[in-house]
Amino acid sequence: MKLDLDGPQSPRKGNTMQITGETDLFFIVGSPVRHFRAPIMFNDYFASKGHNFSCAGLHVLPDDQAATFELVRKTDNIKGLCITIPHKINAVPLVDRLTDVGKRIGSVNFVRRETDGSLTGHNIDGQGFMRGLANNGFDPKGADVVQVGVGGVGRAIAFSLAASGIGRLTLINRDPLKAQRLATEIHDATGVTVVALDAGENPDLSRATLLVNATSVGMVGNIALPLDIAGLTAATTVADVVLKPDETELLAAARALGCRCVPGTAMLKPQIELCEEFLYGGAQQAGG
Amino acid sequence: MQITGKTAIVLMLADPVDHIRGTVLINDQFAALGLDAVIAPIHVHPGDLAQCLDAVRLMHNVRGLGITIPHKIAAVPLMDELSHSARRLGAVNFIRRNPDSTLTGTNTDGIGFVTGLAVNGVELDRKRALVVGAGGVGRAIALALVDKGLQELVLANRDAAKAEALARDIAELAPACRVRVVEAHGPDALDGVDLLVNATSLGMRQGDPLPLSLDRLGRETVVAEVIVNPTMTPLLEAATARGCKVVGGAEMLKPQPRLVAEFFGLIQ
Repeated sequence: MKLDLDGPQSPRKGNTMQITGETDLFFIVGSPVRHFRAPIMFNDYFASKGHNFSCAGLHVLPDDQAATFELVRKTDNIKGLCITIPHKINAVPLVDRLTDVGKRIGSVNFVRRETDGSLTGHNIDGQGFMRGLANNGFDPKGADVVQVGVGGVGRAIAFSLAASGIGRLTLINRDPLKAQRLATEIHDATGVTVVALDAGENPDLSRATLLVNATSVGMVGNIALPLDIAGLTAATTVADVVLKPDETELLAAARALGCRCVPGTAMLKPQIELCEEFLYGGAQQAGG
Repeated sequence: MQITGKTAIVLMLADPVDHIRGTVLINDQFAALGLDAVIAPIHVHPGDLAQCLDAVRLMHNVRGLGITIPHKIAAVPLMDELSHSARRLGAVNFIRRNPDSTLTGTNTDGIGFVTGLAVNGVELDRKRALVVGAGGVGRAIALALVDKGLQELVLANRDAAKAEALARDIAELAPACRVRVVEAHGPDALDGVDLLVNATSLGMRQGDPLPLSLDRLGRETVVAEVIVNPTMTPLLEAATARGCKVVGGAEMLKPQPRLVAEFFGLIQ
């Protein structure tokens, strides 16, 4: 999922940030950037972890991303970048190396500048999602998962789920061929049983322990249910990647049935935590 | 300070960068002026300056740059446009990124200094000033003083030829102002001087000699300094002991954030 760049702001910490020549700089590269609120959350979180760190947005057009990356290579007080719309896929050939996750997902949402100036691309969408689930008390061990949507975010989530000990994954997508391809890929990589549904085929929600919406259906401007929820019971945890509104049609319906609900915002804090680990936590977390 | 996507970003280009603390003062003053703007230092090697400036042209929320050692002169030929002050000083200390991605360089050292004097109630019109030091800062200050209607400017520099060259430039730019060059340690350097400015680095390190002989410093002379650290240089201490009004180096920096914000168009 993407960061909620225009989401709610965290509590004000006062004017504590002092930017000097010893400060590690971090930029969120996007276009547009005016709606970004994420720098506030980054600055508060990194300050709370004791880092001399400052985050700001950087408005760069798609064609100009390479020049920005070149500058970052040459600037040794820049610690890294967050890459957001519309740059995440274009960033892949612009970094010097990808983490395993970045390679598998084929998109980059965080970049770390190494001390030799080289750039390492990473993707923490999947990890962020998994940590959001864990924070909401969901244990993926043996889970029967139904997931709608296999785009960039869906791909990241499906791989992370498959790597976390689930029992079965059912994929649903508007273009069923795409779901089929991802199902084969995940099965080959992890051995997990993955089923891709054909067009018009309905999942058996009565046995699902986790239902994931990884499409943009339900967000402001596209208020609807991403799938028919006939058969859904209170035994299923329902997670949605949509950030606005916080309670989507899907989550509202699930809540009415008594389901445990995990909103898109549950993945926000974990992303910033994972970014901190990626930038400062040493190489062992970087492979993710 | 809360940074969001609306915040105007200003980058301070420097090499080295670790010692940079001036950004704290500028950020505090941006905040005090109610501006949604932030300045952060970035470490740019001299060989990468042109590429860095080109990258900045492509960064649409970067409002401008601060330029410090060692980039102030090297940046001049890389500008699309220079302000009057930058052109005649041959050095820039701030660059505005215009909405069409062009870059305009300016130099606020001189205007910062005279604004600092004005804030401290020092009159310049029809006055006589002695500036010791004819390097980059001395030149900026000398020209800005002349702009304020000085009657006579006296220049002193260890390398007298450099002072002579500056004197010739000033004679050409401002024929109304009398200019002469003196020997800093000469007995009569301070005679009739209303304002003494130290624009050398003497006084920064412990054990530095005074920049000029103070034997004939009278209490009616205002003494101003460009050195920020220490706050009280031996020159300012000696001047205070004689009852002179003194203006410290920080006074030259304090007006600059507002001047820069105006240059960037953040304050109308």
